[in-house]
Amino acid sequence: MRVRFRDVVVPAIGEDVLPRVLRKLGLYDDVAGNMAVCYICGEPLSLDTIGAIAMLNDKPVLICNKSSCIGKAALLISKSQSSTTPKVS
Amino acid sequence: MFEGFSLAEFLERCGFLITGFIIFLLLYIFYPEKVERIATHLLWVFSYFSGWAERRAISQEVEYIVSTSFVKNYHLEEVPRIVVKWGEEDEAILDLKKSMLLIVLRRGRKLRYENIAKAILKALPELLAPEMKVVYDPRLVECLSAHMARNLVKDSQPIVTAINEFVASELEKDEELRKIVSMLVEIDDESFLSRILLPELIEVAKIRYPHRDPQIDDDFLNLVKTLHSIVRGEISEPIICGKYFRILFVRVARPEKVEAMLLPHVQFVKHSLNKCPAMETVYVLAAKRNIAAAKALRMLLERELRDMGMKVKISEQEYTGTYRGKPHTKLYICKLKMEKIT
Repeated sequence: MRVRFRDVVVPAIGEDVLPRVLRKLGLYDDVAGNMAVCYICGEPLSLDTIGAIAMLNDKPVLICNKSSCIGKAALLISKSQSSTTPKVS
Repeated sequence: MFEGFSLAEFLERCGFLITGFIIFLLLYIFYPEKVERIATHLLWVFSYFSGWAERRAISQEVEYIVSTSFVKNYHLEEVPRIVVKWGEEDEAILDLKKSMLLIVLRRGRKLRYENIAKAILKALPELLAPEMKVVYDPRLVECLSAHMARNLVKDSQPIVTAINEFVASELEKDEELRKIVSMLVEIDDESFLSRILLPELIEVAKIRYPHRDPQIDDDFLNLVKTLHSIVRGEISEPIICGKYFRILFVRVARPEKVEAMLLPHVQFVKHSLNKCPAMETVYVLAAKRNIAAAKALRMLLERELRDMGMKVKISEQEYTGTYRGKPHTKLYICKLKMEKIT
């Protein structure tokens, strides 16, 4: 059987790029001022505990390092992203 | 070739390089998996000195783990390949707007598995073909993806732990999903997930896409429950005669070795076809010494079904797997796909 590969792109940044990305998104001051929290679990965030950045309703939100939070964020995004409206038959 | 440097001299001087390149190329052609594994290990060694090598190593390892395990464990025509795309701030922001989720990976070999787990978790909802999420209940597809992801990384305990943490948090409120996941684990133990369940689900999804009928979820669950009962040996009439899945399972047991003794199986198939005239698929299942009998039954069934005016497409698989808790058992699955000749 001939196998076809379907690319699943995972955009990533290194921790060195993170402050610059946060500045551009206007979130750096919140993180530096200990005001940022994880969108999923509500835990306070610092530069070391940010695991992902998500875009929800055109607004950037921060996700913590926990596997459960990253997995949940991925599901949330995947649900909101499914652009094909299923036809109920 | 160059001034004061003939072609012969050039070949003589570069002989080692050329030979090395040819050997590498041949190794890659014949053992791509092993060469990729070695390349990943080398990148991890270089990652002590270079951030670029570390990024490459993470990308390479995620791609290797997922794609290779998928090809090995799941016999599907289409396999996902996770591509970790590293970006600087501007590119990252563009990616964030496009993909909606940007993961932050940390430096240091200690965090190697944590980084890989993050990439796999991000890719988890896209492990299965997009049609699946549209056609079936996304919660069921999530169960399937989570189970598969856990299975793909089973050799790396820290990644399994990370995926388990996510699965547990997702399932803590849903008793039904928890049951489905535990059934999937048992079904997969006997390789029925990769050899029966997934191919059937994908086949129907391809036909139904982009239409969504909530009734398909009942058929999905029925298929999972039937396969689970077969694995446990708890079902007497393993027939699914739903709207989307019409499948009959015939498990060949020891006494039916002689041709005459296979007749009860043939009768059972005929009886099931009368009961469910729209039946489309028959799976003949066998283990160990019963495989020979199953092959004989396959021939008998093929003849009978053709005599009944059906076109039969056969695909057989003989493999080593776990059977009723015993690993390394010889197993056999034969799929007879029927089509009525009009």
